[in-house]
Amino acid sequence: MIARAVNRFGQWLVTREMRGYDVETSGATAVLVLSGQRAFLDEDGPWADLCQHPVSLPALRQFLDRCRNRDYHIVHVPLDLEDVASTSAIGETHFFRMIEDHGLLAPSSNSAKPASDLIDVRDIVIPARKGLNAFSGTGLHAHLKTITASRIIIVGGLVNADVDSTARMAVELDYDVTIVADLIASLTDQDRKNTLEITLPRIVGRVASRSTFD
Amino acid sequence: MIAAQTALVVIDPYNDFLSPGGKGWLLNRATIRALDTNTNLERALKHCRTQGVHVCYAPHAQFRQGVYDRRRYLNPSAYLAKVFRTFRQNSWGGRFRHALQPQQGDFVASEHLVSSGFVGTDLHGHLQSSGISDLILCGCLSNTCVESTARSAIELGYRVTILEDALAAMSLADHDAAIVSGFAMCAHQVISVDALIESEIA
Repeated sequence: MIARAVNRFGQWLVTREMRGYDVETSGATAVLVLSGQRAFLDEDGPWADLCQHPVSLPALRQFLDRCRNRDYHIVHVPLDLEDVASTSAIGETHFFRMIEDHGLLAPSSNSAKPASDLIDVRDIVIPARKGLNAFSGTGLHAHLKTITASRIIIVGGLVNADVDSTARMAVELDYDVTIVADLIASLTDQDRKNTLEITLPRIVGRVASRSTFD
Repeated sequence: MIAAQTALVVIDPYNDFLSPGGKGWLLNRATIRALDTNTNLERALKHCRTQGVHVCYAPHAQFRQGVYDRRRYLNPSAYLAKVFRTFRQNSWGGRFRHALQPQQGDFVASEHLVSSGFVGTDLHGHLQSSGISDLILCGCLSNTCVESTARSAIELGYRVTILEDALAAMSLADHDAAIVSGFAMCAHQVISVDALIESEIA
């Protein structure tokens, strides 16, 4: 009972503090599109069967269009497994084994390519992400610095895999991070609740929905 | 596991998190009591030292004036650490729990400011120079610093084992969230301290 009250008081303090960030932010905003590839967006593909909550391609496209109208930078960070050995330490983790087992990102397949109808000529595409964290070995941080981005909005990806890892690293690198919950995939309801309602609110500034950006 | 290639990394074993009277005790005590965290941390440390596994500590930044000033944005956990002056320098809360103190030969990494024991610290450099490829993680808190450290570790190429009952969290729900949804993606195995003690370390 006391612990719950203390926890709620902490959450209230945090919410009040984060409201100030909305007002004070002076840098640009970048929308990170994680794993925006056919393999993860096709309604009839194996990924849609695996996920209780897949990402809707039309909803993601509409959201990105709205963000472009606001002059947000759109940065695509697809997952590229071409050189990731299944025997490497990261290749042996559950997410990568799952992708390999289902043949989701077979090299040179169409499904491994970024969904072309999500990409606009003004967008930035960061190639060669080999891990869960979009910042790891990709040069993403340097790209974001050149466009003076200080706020990051994360869409696409799997909630407890690349979304969580990327959000944590973005926070470490001192970005103000917002996650758009209804444009993030999850394998189960429990993963969704655990990550979006319990864990990430302790890590990132905001877990929002698409409607927040209307 | 091969002892010479393995390190036990103890994350944030501060009095403020693990001891009655600490600033996080009211929140953390439910998991600490349910898991018997402090006893298990002591057992894990003793076992690893006996087996010749290198022991490292990954401490959170101690609160002191200006420690968060270079941050543009404070995330929720860092903001609360600033407000409540968690792990205040030169205070009881900012010291490691007595039974979990480093011993001669252990390595205490430089402080992490947010949540990953690797970001902005000398931990990776030390592990690399020591020929370490396998990590056993334990400490505080399950779904914040421990999970962040595990997520960094797999990106850096380490094989990660997490001791599920040598952890603490702000609630049992937080701990379960890490076990079910977090560690499933960022650890190669999640085992109990009993299992660690029973396992073969060559």
